[in-house]
Amino acid sequence: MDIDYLRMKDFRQYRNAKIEFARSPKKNFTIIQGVTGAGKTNILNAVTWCLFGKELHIDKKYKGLPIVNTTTLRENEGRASEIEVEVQFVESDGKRLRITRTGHFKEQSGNVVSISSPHDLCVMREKGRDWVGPIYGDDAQYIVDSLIPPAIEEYFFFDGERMNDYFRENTGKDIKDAVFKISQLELCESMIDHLTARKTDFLKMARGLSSKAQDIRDMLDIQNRSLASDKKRLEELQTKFAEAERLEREFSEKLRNSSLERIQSLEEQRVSLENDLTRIQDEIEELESSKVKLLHKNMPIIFAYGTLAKTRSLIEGRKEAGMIPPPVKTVFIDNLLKKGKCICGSDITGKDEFSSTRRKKVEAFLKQSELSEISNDLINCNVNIQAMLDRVTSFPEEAIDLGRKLKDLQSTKNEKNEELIRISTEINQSNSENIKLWGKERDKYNKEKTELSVEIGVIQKQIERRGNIIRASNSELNRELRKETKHSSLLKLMNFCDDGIKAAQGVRDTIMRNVKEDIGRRTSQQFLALIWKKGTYEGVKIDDNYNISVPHVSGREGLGTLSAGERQVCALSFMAALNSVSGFKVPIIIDTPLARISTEPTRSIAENLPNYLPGTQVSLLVTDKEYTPDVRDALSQVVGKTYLINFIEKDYGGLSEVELQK
Amino acid sequence: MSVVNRRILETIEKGDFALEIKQLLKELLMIEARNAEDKKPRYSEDYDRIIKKLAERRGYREDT
Repeated sequence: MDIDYLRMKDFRQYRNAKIEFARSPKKNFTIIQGVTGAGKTNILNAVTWCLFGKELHIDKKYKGLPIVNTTTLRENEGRASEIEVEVQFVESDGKRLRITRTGHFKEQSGNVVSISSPHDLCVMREKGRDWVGPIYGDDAQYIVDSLIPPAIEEYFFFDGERMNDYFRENTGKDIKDAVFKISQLELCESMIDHLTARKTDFLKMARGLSSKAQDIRDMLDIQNRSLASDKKRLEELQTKFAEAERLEREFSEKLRNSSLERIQSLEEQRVSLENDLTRIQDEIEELESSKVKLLHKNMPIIFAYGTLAKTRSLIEGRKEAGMIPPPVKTVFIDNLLKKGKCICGSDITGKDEFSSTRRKKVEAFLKQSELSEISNDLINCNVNIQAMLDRVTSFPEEAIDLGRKLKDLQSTKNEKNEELIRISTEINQSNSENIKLWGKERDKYNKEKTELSVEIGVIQKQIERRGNIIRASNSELNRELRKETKHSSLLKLMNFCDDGIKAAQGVRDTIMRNVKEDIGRRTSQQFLALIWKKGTYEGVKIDDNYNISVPHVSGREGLGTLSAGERQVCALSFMAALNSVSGFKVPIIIDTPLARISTEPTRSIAENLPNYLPGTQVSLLVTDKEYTPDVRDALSQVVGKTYLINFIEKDYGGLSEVELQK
Repeated sequence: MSVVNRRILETIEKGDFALEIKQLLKELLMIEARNAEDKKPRYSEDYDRIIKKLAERRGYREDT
């Protein structure tokens, strides 16, 4: 989907302006150039106002100022003034979709007041050779939200200058939220919550339950409520953790950028040690989990080792003595008795005295044979016992090996911890008051993080336990309800909800995994292509907690030491990656995309940007300083249209006109 | 045209679920997308209607 045109009538400084966007497949970049304050950001605002009724990128200086053009307002002398912004899109099938928003305002006792109008949003849609519409109100808004959900517009229409601070201001949790938002995983989350709630309500409303079912229902109710409150608490703790993490990073960065070289180096060492410690801790946890698994696997056999060995030796002894296996199969003697004829040909039907005596003998032999038959099972058991005993022979070695690895890691961890304390102490004893303060603040937030992570771990375990209890209770309740046919429809509904919840969880987990991998890979590729210091960084990584890192080729972490321009490139790469996984084919508008980047690298960015947004219509709102001859040259192959914003200062505020450049 | 990310819809489609479960997830996601901007969305009635309709359909399909 592309933007065909944007028309603004009396919107802020634009009295009457129309911008037709470049839409040719090879030249789909539009440049809108203007000096600071000319009204570039208000073009972004005009688009979001038209679509969502809100100016989502409002600059501080415009806050509180009327949205309606002040010159028009003054000329209308108290009469109503109308604003109209129209955006026409062309969808992938070539059909046009026209969205028009109007607003009415008038001046009243020195204030500008909005006059409500019945239809402020109107959508017209091309169908075949005709236009469908006008469509107004909620239906119109639904169509617009379907094109670009308002919750994710900021990843399509954004301010490039703010990108510089994107990773400084945002924590792993914020990044995760952005990924959740853009891939709409929050919709999956709330669907799971609501389905669970409906299932609980179906059960609550059920009548005529047995007392046992009622007890389980009450218990489930308590557990579900506790689970919800645990989850809420977990979210609060994770938010606090993210904030502590952000502040720790902020003070750490201050130290690394301090004017004292010694402090810079110490702080870099400290960050590197912290990373090592995180890695070591992960390895320790992995080994401990392997140790537990090894114990679980072998312990029952180890406890029963003596008994098993003795049983085995007894069976072997009987076997050696020729007592097992039995000389004759039970089935063979049984057949003789059934036929009434012994193997020697004698009658054993028992119809006369002799026959009866012989039959009793054979029957006694059968009993003996039955006992011996058990010995066949014993022989089979013995094979299994031997296999079990063999399995644990490697246990001591494996356990010792794991123990040794754990001990080594623990000792490395202790050494690194001691080094960390030494560095922190040296920083905190610095002669500079600022450095002392930053060091202490950084330590404070680091400690807070550690404490919070323990609390988070406890609550996560609690959530897991409650989940197990709820699952077990649900199964029990199911069994109980199945006993009476009158509950069959309730059971059907509950089982249907359960299947829906499981499926939704599966979908959520699959998408979460794929999207994270995809975003990590794309961000890294784009960053490496856009960055001008080739061979300096390994790429961009996103860990399990959605923390972004930019490893330097030397192995140390580089995010904190990136220049403003590099940070902006990193964030731009991340935004482009988010965008490509969003599933929405929406044009991109970037306000001041190159503001923080020094002259030389802008060419490299300009050259590479089109490759990373293939097939996407892009509009760049640039200042003269950004749109240098170099950038112009680098983008010349993709730029289809260039506009210049002319700004004229007037008595009642400025006026801007947009002029197409030949 | 869809209010829901194509990736989600494709994952549901590819999932090893009964037809009615796929339909359930798609319909519920549409409701969630519509309610996304509401602070306190009302969803119970829509959910109940869809769950009952599709649970019955699944029951009918399994019985026949």
